[in-house]
Amino acid sequence: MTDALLIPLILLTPLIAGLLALALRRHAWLRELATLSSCLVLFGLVWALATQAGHGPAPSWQLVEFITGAPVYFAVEPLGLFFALLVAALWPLNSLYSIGYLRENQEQHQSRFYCFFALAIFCTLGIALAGNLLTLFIFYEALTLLTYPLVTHRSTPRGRAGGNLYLGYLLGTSFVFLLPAIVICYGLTGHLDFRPGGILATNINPAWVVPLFVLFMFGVGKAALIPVHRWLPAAMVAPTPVSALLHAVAVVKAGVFTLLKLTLYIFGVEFLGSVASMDIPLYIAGFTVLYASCIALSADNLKRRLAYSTISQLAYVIMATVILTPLSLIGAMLHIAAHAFGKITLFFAAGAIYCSSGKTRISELAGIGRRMPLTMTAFAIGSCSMIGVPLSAGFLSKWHIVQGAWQGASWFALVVIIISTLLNAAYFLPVVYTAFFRPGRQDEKIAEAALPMLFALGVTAVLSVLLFFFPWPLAGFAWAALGPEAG
Amino acid sequence: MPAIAHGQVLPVILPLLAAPLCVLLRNERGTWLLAAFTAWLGAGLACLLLIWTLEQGPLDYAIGAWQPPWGIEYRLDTLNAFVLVIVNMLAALVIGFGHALIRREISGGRRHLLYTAFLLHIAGINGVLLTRDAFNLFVFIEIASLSSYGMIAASRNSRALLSAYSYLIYGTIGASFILLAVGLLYAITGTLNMTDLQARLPEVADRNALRAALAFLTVGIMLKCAIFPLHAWLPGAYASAPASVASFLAGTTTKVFLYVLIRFFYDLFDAGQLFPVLYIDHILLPAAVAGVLYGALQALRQDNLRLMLAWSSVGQIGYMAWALSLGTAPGLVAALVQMVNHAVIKCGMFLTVAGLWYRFDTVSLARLGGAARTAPGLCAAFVLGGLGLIGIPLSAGFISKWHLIGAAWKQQGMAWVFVIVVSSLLTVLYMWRAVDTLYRGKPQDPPAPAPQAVACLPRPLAIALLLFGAGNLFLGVDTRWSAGIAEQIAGQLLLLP
Repeated sequence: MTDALLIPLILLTPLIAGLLALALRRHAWLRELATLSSCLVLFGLVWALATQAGHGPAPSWQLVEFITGAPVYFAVEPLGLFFALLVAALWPLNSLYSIGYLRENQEQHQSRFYCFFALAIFCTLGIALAGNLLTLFIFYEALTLLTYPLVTHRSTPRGRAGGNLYLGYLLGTSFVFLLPAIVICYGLTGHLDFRPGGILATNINPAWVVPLFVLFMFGVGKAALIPVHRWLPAAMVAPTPVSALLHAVAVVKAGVFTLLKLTLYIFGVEFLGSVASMDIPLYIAGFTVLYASCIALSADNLKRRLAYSTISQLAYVIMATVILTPLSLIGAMLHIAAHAFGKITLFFAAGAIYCSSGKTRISELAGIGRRMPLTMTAFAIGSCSMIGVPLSAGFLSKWHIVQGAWQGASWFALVVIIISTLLNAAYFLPVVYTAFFRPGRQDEKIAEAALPMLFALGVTAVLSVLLFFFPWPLAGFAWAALGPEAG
Repeated sequence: MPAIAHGQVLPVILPLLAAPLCVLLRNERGTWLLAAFTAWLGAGLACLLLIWTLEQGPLDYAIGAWQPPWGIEYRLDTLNAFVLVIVNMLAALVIGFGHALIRREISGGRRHLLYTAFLLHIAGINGVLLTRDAFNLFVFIEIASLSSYGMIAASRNSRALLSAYSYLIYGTIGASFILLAVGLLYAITGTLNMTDLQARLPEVADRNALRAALAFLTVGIMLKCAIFPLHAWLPGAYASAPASVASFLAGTTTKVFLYVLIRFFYDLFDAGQLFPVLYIDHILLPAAVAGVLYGALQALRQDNLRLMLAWSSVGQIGYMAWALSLGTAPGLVAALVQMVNHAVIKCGMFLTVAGLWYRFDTVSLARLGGAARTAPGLCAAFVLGGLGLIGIPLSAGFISKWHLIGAAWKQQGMAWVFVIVVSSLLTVLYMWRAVDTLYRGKPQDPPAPAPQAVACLPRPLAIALLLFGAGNLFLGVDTRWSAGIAEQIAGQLLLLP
């Protein structure tokens, strides 16, 4: 099979999965089988694309050119493959978990759920494989619109209010900041292709580099920098599988992935480092890290705490990106993966707890570690990865970021990392402590959640440890993304 | 002279001949068939002419073989062929597929008269587009306007008469201003033929009479285009006209007068030189910006869906005027692209709302809460149109916004770009309000189907909505027919390489 054919196949698979979910709405088992098998097919396809990367010219596929110089165009490069692989690896696990979760809670409109979920994956893959900024923007917008029905899956007034915030923030930022920024790039260069080393270097007045970068930072609302972060906690009204895959992995990571891609392929690392003092973006990101951690500390609702933790971890990635040293960039990419595995485990665990006990508050979790030992062990592993305890994936990425900050002599970043690590510990360890060591009520009848859910969260927990020992498949892409000279 | 040259008078002559036939025929079905046939013929011709002029260049035609400057000359070039296609395609779709709406809305004895007026209107518009004679242009403006007053007044809606009257007053003032301008131009140059005008105007460039003429022309066209603050006739006229008429007018009327604006300021004059000297951009730009914001804010307040769309039109026309006020090639391209995209989107949306009215006998948002449960297809069409108006990628509106932002940024800088995006956000708000109500609202007073118990849309109307939705997406993906042609036109008018 030629590489070029793989791109349309990868994009088509989740589309077909979405249609199948609708077509088979009367046959629950068949529908779930179809979703699961398309997940696996997708993973196989992405894996095939990944193994062929680096041999021969990078495959690409142009669909249609509707703005001169900026067609809808897909191209494979290491960073995009990295992200696509991450999403394709987590989708099967999430689908498995969804099946358990939706059945357990007897949610309405399950077919609609599977359909939009597959479409959201389709958009995420489009973002990952986009060959220019316009294509990325198209899928970025589509992702916002197609995840809206998932966020408001329960049509309660709270669900609707959360959905309105979600749509308002994401559409608002992308229209007010992102679209003008893209048009400016296009006006300056006449095209929007992602090219190693960036495309702006020869075209832009150096004084405008930082303002344009900041415009992009806030334009990519999915990266949830303060003050455009409020959609993320609001989106937590969605069913937990949505929060897990979309609002811990696909959607938010699409945001930081976009910023990384802009840094590497539109601005260019060397160019950014040479002309601009990146202090302002660094301060914005650093402030978000600390501020979001403080809010997480005060949140009693488990999902809300996880949401603010996500905001702070996303800002970590952005901070590592704007430090602009090779090691910090590697750290940023690894942190995308480490946080993805860790946070999805945490959300899975939170959903499992909700399923078995109906509990959503941390203060109610006393003693639950005894009754759901496997779930809470996974939760503890996820927490360790978030904090960056050695032997977990989080340590690896934090290590790279710290090294990078040292390399770039960015003392501000170092201080932020130290404080935030303490804060991370301060808001995750009490949850684990409460669950395992505080005595619960004796008369409660709570057991582990259904098997598919348990399996999914077990696998992600194991993966976030394995990533520490075998980082190479993903780290290889990260190094390749920086170009040959960085290695 | 190639045989197709005769084809360029047919878009005027055919409807002009068919109109009196309709009066004679009186038979409702017969007149409809005749009108639809004429409209489709016109649409086909327009497409042929566009393709021909794209390949072969402009085409002159002396009416009655009286050579100019004695006789009236017609001239087909890419610009008017482009607008001709928009107008005639919309006419064909609305007349061809909208008969059910007219049957519902106009009482039996007057339907053939409505078709008569419709045909006269099309003849007038096509004449405005094709003629190369300034006075003839005014005559056709009057034909188009008078027939449109009649069409609006034909509605059963009690406010229609008042709206038509107000449109009549505004429109007549606008047309008289245009007439005054044409008279002044004739007085100082001694010719009405636009080709001659083009040649002689540079000689009289510093005459005060020319300035007066341009002032009259600008204000007259602004009145006819409903550019803020001269927009007062538009919301009422669009909201109370018969539904199919409103769809057609919303798609075409203002576009035609924007064409007149382009013809005068970009073809007869050189916009790049004229604007800085006469400060036309200083008049047009603030008016356009104010219109964009005011239209969107008003749209946000409306409960009547048709009023909402009408106010949205005021805003969208503002975008076109804004692009034209830049006086640059990218600005002209943006205006032309917005012209075709907005025509398709807005005409489709008015038809969608007409469909809602057909089903539920109301266009009040408060009474349409939750309508999506019983009319999912219609509401999906509404959402699609809304995405287009907002400018979501892959819809036609995105292409317009892209060009507009690009043009504004190049000429004016960052601050103005933010005005555009803020107004887009307002669009998001008013569309969101409507969509949210349609999908999730609880009807205060359930949207009972209309008295005649309409369970579903008439099939032709559903087909038309499908076509408009497809057009919206098509223009968002394949821009050869919008931006591609617009760039050619800009090249011809501004003498770019």
